[in-house]
Amino acid sequence: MSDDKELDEIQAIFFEECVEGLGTAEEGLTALANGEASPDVIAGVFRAVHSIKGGAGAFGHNALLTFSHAFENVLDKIRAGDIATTPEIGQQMLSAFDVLSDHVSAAMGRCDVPDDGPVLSGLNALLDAEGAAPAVPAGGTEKIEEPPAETTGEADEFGFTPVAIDLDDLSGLGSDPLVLDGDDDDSDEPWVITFKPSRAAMENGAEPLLVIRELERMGARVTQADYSALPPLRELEPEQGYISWSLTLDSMIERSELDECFDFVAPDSLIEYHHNRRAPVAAEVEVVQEAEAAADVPAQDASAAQGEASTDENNKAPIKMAAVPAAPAPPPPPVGEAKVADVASQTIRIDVTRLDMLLNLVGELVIRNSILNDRLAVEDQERVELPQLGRLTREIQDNVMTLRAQPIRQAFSRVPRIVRELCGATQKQVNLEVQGETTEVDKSVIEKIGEPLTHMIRNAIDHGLESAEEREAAGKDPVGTVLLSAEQKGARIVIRVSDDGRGIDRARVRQKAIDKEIISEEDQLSDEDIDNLICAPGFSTAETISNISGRGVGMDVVRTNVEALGGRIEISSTPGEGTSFTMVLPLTLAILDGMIVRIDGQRYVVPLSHVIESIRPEKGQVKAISPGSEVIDLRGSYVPVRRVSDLFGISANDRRSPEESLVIIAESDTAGCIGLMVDAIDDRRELVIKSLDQNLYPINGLSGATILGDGSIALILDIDALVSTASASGSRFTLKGMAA
Amino acid sequence: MSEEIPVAQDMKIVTFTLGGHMFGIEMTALLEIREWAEPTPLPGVPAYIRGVTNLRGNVVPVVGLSERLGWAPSVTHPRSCILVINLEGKQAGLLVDEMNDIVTVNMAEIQPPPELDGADTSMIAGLVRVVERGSDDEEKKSEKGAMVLLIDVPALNLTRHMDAAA
Amino acid sequence: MSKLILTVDDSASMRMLLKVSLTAQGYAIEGAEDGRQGLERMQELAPDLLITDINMPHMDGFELIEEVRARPEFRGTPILVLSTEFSDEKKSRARETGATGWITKPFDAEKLGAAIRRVCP
Repeated sequence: MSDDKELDEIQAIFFEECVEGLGTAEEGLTALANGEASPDVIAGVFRAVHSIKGGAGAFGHNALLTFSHAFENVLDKIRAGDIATTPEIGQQMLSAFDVLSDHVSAAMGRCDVPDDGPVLSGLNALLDAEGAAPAVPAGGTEKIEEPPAETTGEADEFGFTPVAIDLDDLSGLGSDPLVLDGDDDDSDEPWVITFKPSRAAMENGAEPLLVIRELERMGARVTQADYSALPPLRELEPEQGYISWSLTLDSMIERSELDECFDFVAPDSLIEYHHNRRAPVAAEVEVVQEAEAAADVPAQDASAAQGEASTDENNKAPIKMAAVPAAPAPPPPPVGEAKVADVASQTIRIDVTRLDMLLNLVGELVIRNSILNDRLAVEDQERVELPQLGRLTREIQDNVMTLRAQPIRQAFSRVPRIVRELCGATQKQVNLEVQGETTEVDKSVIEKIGEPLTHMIRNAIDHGLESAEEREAAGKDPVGTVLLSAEQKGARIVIRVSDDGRGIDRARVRQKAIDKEIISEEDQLSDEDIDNLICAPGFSTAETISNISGRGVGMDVVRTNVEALGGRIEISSTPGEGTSFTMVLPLTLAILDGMIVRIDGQRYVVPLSHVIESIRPEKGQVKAISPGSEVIDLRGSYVPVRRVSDLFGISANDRRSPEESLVIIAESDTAGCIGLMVDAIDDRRELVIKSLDQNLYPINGLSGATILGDGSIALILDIDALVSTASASGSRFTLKGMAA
Repeated sequence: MSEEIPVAQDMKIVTFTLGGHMFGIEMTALLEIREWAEPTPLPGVPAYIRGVTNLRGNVVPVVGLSERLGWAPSVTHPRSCILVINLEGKQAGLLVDEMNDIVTVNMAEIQPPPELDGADTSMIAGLVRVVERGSDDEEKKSEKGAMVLLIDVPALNLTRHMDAAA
Repeated sequence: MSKLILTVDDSASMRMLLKVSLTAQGYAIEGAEDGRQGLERMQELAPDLLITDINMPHMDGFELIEEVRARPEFRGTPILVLSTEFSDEKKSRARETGATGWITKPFDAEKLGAAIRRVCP
């Protein structure tokens, strides 16, 4: 049904809002727990929870509604200063937040409804201590209750006291002639309604006559209009109420409906209704006929006299006020779209798939541009239009890329909670520091680093940090610190998780690797090599015990995930002082400035950002220092030279001499240079990166592939991986896919 | 394909020859059929992944089905083709010797896979007889039909080897 | 021509729910996401009715209503306040500020329609 679908779409947006709201709330509550929350921040938290509650009710998520209602009430009290913001309260609020977050997830269908018993009682206890909270509304209106008897100090000209009578209270005014007697809600007698609005009832743009209209819609009939209080025209105040109406209404209508009908005008009017006995009704009917006839004319005069301020009621009904031309209702969003264009707002929600499509098209544009460039004769390439076109294309590309850029904060949002939970589970004390959360990265990076990040944080707290006692014994602060940071370095994003824990116990790691036959006893490994063993496939098993110091759980998965993004993991550790895991990821994932080279008839791409220079070696410039190992003399310093075919374990058809080849000096981020020996350089071009992961899996040494103008595929070299493999001389173990 | 074969259900399969045998693959897994073109070789992958090819802007791996099953690599010739299939959400191309036809089989008639010389039968879901259609040839009509080995597409899973070094 | 209603709520999903409900009842709807924007749109559109939430960033519902009522051209414009509950206190406050009436969240489409009919000619 289209209605359901529409509701589902709206609910989907509500869930997005919940996620945003939870983010705001968590930040605010964390600040609150640290004693740093300003009133604005607290108000923001309140609003966020309030919004979640509002939607929960609308979409029928009752458990979420109940919990968020209690939570909101407590926050309201905090906001009002009725509950002090002590650190304990702060922690309690954070715990409540975690439960709220779970409730939201449950509402989204991602998990079971959490057991919120203890936390909810805690919240209610806070509320009870402060006084009763307003009840969860059933929706709809409330009874008309007795408001203050006097309006303002000034005596109303007609001695008129606007009071609404609660019939159950039987506390009506003496002046009321029709006192209720043995009144019975179940009576079959029709309702008799008296309604006299005062001046106040016509304030705030109200139209008491609309209430009468509504009653008429419900089937009421005006039986009498008492206009005896109407003054002569010259004394008439347009905004004053002078007329009272009597109506009858079928008994089928519930009292609550009548209550609702009068809800807005109740405090400003004399309203009374009850089931009447037959006889008086009959009598009234006769009176009615006369009164109606008589009432018609003055009523019209009166309404005419009421003037513009009260608006021309009777005359207005048939004439629709056209204040503005009504905007035609826009068509409902098509299937599958989650797009809402906020009217005149600063932001717009866009379906990510649309953005990706745009990105692809821009990528194609870039390629076509390049090809066009190539096809032209040399002299035409100089024409001014081409560089202009190129500039324009690049600008479009940059702008579209930034559309996908988001602050990495989103990826960090789960971390505080994970830290809290781990602290609880491991009984360790941890201080989490976060830096660089405003660093912007491509959306796909945010989506994919969540899991690796979680693993790394888990490892840091579970394995890296010592218990409080151990730390004290070692002379450290019992509270461990985990630093989560992100920064942009050139064309890379560097995300680091470091701790000040015990560092990697290399001896144990080495032994474990030997036990698992990843390396052998005789293997000579540098410290760095040993650290990297942690990520080797097969190293980590399903152990959950933390008695091996150093990391183990899931790190090979982490490495795989990161490499799938075209990135890498670096590990560095100092025993006794701490360890840091660094993820280095490319900044823009889709488009690359590359140098197309030819090796053994195949074309490969070297990312231009890594290229320092290219050289056609002179005789003797490339020297073999040992079998299979060559270096190039680069202005006095020696840079290792590798042939790509060697790196990939592909046997070359014929080994060209260095003088017949080109050596491209490439620099990796890990501060190593390498000379790549290639057969020829074809071109330099902007290329669209196609992930190998899409249909296959990541391959070490490659950071993807690209499709060239003629439709053929060129593989993109991962310089960092190639450099590190080149430097791992003689290691038998390899990261998957690479020959030694 | 699951082991439990529902009663009296029909299934469309596309049949092809490979290494002298006739194979079949569920139509629902087939995306398209392409002419054979030499793929771009990839370093560090098992031998049965012959490389990657450009399929309408996507980089798609090309699998030598013969090698994947454990046989010698196919020798390509002009009628070789690549069956582009949907392999658990990813695309892959299978190199086969020659396309045959699209036929309907009754799932109730599928028998368990037989032993095959040197082949990894874990990727074969079953064996079924198909009647070749559209033949005016009296002789052909009187034939009882061919035996087709049904490929278990998910079992082709390209990531199964992951930890093996090159 | 249908009546124009301006809905102001910081929750897009709530605005959408209102829109769906009200459009089905024949009204034209425009939206704003906080009081500030609401005020701008009021001046831009001069709608037949304003429906506003209370808790919003930048300028909350009550402030918005005060600002709207301060302008002579809007003195007679009906205004409905949206909120999850309406205690007497809240009703008084709403009225004092200048609201014509109120709607509770979650709203019943019919009650919403009736409330609108009672304030919007």
